[in-house]
Amino acid sequence: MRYFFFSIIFLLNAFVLMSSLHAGIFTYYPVSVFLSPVAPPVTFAGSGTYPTIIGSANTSAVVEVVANKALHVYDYDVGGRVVVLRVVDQSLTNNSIFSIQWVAFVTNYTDPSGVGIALKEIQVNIGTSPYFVSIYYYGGNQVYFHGPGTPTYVYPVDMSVAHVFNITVSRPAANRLRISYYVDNSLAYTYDYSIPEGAAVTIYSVVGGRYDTSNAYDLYVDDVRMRSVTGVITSEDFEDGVDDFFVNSYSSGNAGKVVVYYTFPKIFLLARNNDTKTYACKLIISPLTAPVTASFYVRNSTHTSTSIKIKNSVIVSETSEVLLGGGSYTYMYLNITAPLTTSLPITFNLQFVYRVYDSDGVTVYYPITVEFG
Amino acid sequence: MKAERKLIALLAVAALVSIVNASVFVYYPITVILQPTQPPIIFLPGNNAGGQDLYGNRIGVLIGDASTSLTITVHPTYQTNYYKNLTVIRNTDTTNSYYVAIRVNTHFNNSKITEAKLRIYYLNGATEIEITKVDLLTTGTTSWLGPLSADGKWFVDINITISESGGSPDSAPFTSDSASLQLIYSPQNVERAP
Repeated sequence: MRYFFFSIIFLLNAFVLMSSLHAGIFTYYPVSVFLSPVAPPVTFAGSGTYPTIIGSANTSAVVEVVANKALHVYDYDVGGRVVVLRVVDQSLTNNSIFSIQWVAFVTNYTDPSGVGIALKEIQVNIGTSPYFVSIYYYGGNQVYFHGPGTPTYVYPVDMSVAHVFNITVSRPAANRLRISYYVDNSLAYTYDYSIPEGAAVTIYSVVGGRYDTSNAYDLYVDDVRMRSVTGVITSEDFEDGVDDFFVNSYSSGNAGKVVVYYTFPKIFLLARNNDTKTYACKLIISPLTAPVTASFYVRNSTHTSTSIKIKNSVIVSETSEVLLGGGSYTYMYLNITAPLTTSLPITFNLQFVYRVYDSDGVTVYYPITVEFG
Repeated sequence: MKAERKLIALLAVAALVSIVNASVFVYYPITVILQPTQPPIIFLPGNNAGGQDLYGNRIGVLIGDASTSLTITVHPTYQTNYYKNLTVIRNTDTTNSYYVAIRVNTHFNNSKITEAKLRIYYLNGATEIEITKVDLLTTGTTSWLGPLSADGKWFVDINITISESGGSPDSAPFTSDSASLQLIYSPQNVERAP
């Protein structure tokens, strides 16, 4: 009993001692936070490319990207090759015209030996001799017009987006061929080539890809339109999921062709700087897992950002920054592909991010939803 | 005669009671000595104090003369606005650490504000280690944070999200709003701040 009382007294003493050791002193400092909001200095505008819902203050966007189909020509094997080909085998007589066009876009291009890739090529037989009329890509922002009897013509063009390439071969006279190259429906180059009077001229085939090995690339082709020498139009948009045009194609190694869901790189949204100050802007994306390959990037009038990259999951989650000067626009681009077996739609949750240039004091985030399907 | 006896008895009782309640006053000396010290915890301007805000405004960070009061003024717009490194909470005591709490006495109350957080963190090299996020949309006091080590620094960011709903690109989401807080510190973390 005595021990019990001693214990109680000891504990009470200990409690009192601890209380005195931790005797509270509390110091209070006042802090005030004032918000003085402003109208949004940067606002969204639709690109006109896709159906877009812009928020009431133009600071959010939902973009519906239609999942069209295209032909994916791929060569992932520097020892392999793929050639998409259609044998035409038509005689080009006096005053007749043959033309072939399609939309083409090359990406992931590697070509250590410089063999190039044919964005479009026509084999023209004059007599028994084959000649090749072509538009080639070797990298960079230019394409090369090849043809019989003339030096190669180099044509500058922004290859970060798709273009409509067209080659037209006509025979205005019995001893002359006229070869014309069009880019985006504008004549880029034309010349006449003399041939023996009355020579047999045959449009033998139209081709894309590359017979030579040693390069690697992704080539996307869509909206094929061929005008035969008799004026018959053959077209292919791949929307039925089948390639009925390049029926004579061949490949070897890890290379081939397949119809896929695809969007060529296109502007999907614009942002306008309503301020006189310059802002730095970029895109970031939330995590995503889906059987899809996609890229998103931003451009101003002079610079293109690096890309957000997605291949089944997010590989690179944000772009680099580009500057958005006072009163100017920046353009947001997307490029999406997915196998036809993919369950659509796929939702991409992005944010348009901007900050006052040369400062990280304030950063503003606007939500963007891209529905692909 | 009978009445006189009663009166005498009552007077006798009254006298007796007066004697029993006679006051005694004892005086002990107590001395309260104030020996003020310089404030161990102070506010310092962050890297972006006075920096560029939206539409050419400035990020206002006003620190009192003794660095023991703080007023922040920012100019957000619709959606999420992140203000970084506005102020620094500095422990100038080179030998003692202090526990810190944040009390929100008056929260923002504009219904368009969907999120308002004051974020406190310290740096481990270039890595930000978050200590807490204080919700500026509710009143209350955080638990003790830290301690803020001797000669240590904490950094303060603010994150404001304003709903776009019903808004216009040509006008501000609303006119103004404010929150009133206290930074509280103590050398102990056993007792909660009163």
